Amino acid sequence: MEEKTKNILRNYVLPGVLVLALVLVGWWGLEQRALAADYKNITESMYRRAYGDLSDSLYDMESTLAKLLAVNSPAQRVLLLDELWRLSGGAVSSMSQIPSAFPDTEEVNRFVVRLGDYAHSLTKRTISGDTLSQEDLDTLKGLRESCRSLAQRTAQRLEEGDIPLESLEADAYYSQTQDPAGTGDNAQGEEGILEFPTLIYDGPFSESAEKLEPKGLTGQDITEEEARAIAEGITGCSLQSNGLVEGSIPAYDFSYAGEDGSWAEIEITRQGGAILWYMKPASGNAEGKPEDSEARRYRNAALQKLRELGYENMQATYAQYYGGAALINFAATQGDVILYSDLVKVWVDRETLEVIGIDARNYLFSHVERALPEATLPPEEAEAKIAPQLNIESRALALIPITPETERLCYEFKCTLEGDSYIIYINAETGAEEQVFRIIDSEDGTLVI
Amino acid sequence: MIKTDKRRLLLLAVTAICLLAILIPITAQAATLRVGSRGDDVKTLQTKLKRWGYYSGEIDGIFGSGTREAVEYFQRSNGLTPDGIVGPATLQALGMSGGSSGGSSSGSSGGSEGSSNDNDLYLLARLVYGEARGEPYKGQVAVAAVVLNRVKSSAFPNSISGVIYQSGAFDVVADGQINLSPDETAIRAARDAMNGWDPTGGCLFYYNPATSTNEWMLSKPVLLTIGNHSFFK
Repeated sequence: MEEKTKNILRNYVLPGVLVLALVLVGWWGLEQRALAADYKNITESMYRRAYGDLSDSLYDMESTLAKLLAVNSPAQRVLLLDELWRLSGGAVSSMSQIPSAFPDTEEVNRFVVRLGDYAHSLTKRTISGDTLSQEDLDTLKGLRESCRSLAQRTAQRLEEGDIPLESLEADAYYSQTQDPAGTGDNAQGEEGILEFPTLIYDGPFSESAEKLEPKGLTGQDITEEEARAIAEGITGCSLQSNGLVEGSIPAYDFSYAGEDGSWAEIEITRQGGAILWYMKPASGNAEGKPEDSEARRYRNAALQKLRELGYENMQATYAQYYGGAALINFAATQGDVILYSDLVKVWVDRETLEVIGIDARNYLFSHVERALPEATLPPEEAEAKIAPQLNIESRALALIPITPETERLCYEFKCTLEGDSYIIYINAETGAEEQVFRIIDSEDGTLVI
Repeated sequence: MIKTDKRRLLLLAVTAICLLAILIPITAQAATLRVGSRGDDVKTLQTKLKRWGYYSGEIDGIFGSGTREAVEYFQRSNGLTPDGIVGPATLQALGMSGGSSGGSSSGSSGGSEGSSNDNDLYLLARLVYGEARGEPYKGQVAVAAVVLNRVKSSAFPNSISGVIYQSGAFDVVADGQINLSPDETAIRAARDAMNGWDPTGGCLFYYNPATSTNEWMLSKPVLLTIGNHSFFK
């Protein structure tokens, strides 16, 4: 009897279960394979689409550049330049979706970004009444050539067929050294076939802006030990040295880590021994906007610390409150003019009123004594330039950054319209409306965008 | 004879069990929440969605249409299939994958102020959490700062999501860790970086020298090292 059950089990039940399990696994495997193929197709189609969009944008840019060389009126020029800016934005977005890893796309990405940035700077110049110089026209011609060969190169990628997922790992498509288009005129380039004209202009992505040197540092270079003494004076603890960081502002890096989990991080600039930044944790977790009197206490604590550190004429511009700290932005002033580029951020602990963070990078980058122009436009005339539907609440003089390398003296008007707050800048010499910001009052502070 | 039979029986049984064991986790569903679900898990879900600004209804522990819409919104914002059903992937993204109904009330507090860049902040925090949780705080801020430095560079896309989702840019995007829900430290680090703290002095890259095999990266001069990451321009 027992033997019989065993036999049934061995001869029928177990093999049956096994076969069933195998069939199920096989069926599942097939399902998975079909699913994987679907995903692969979807992904590859998205890659194709990105290449397609990119080459479309590039061809459109080429033809817009061609038209730009043919028109003569500022109105048409502005429209076409604006179109270029829009197309470049689309091209940059497609660039980030094609399956090519960083070093390969670097030059192409720079080209596309700067082309848009350059077009935008020409728009601003044209609107302010400038005409294009022969040099500008030559540049546009060069850009057109580059656009054409880049568009061809991109379209060719699609013609070549498969864009396997693996190309994400190993592709060096744009930086390859051969010349696929056979046009030859760029073939002498050492790095690759694609050579792009150098654009000289003033915009956020320009080469000159990315290579700006700090202007606000004065004094002699100090040694690491001198830097340590300064850092320990500020943090009040004995610090570990992490060496010199040769970033955009070379600085000595120090840190402290206590056994109770407390920590402090600080960098002291090599030239002049100023605090580049300083951070330690807040003691509480308070969130949300405080009472006005409370906000004033934070501001005064921050101002006092700034004075101790040698920052004299500073004015609080706006504040945020998060994670137990108040973060207050201070801008330097010169006479009665606010210098918005010369920014120092100060974090104040909401429980202890201690300064627990400083970021002086912007200030150290830009602070010098400015040769301020005369505000030749009377304030009343500036006020008349403000849109009539706005209620003006206050007025001040400010030097604002228009591009990385130019600043303008403006009247700053704080205004309201239907419950929204705005800051409008009117050029104090020409009366031009230079800049508009919207102020968003949120739970945790004032946000300017 | 009997001995070998026994052995064969055992072998067959083990094989069958193994195959079934492979199948069970595939077919069996983990505890899911959907329209009609009730209880503490739903309460936790609603609390989290509300805190992050996805849900505006009441925290009543009943999964209704309002909760479904909030879940779909959350799923869309976090790269999940917006089916309104809270399955394992969504639970994980919500930070609720532990399975227990309590214990999850200490979540984030940084990200729901309703300002225009909340999405950016949260995305950046997710990247920091995926890439650098376990690193010292400064190292987490540094990873966020690298993303922001890229946004400002002409060599990279000019938005936070563009930089983070750029093809091949971050491993955690490829392996899905970007969808983990970040802890408070990561959110705070993202926030400090967005407010200007850049511990890297303008670096655009980092790698882990212990695990990286990227020759191009390894050939670059290192500007500074924080925790396990080496940073360079």
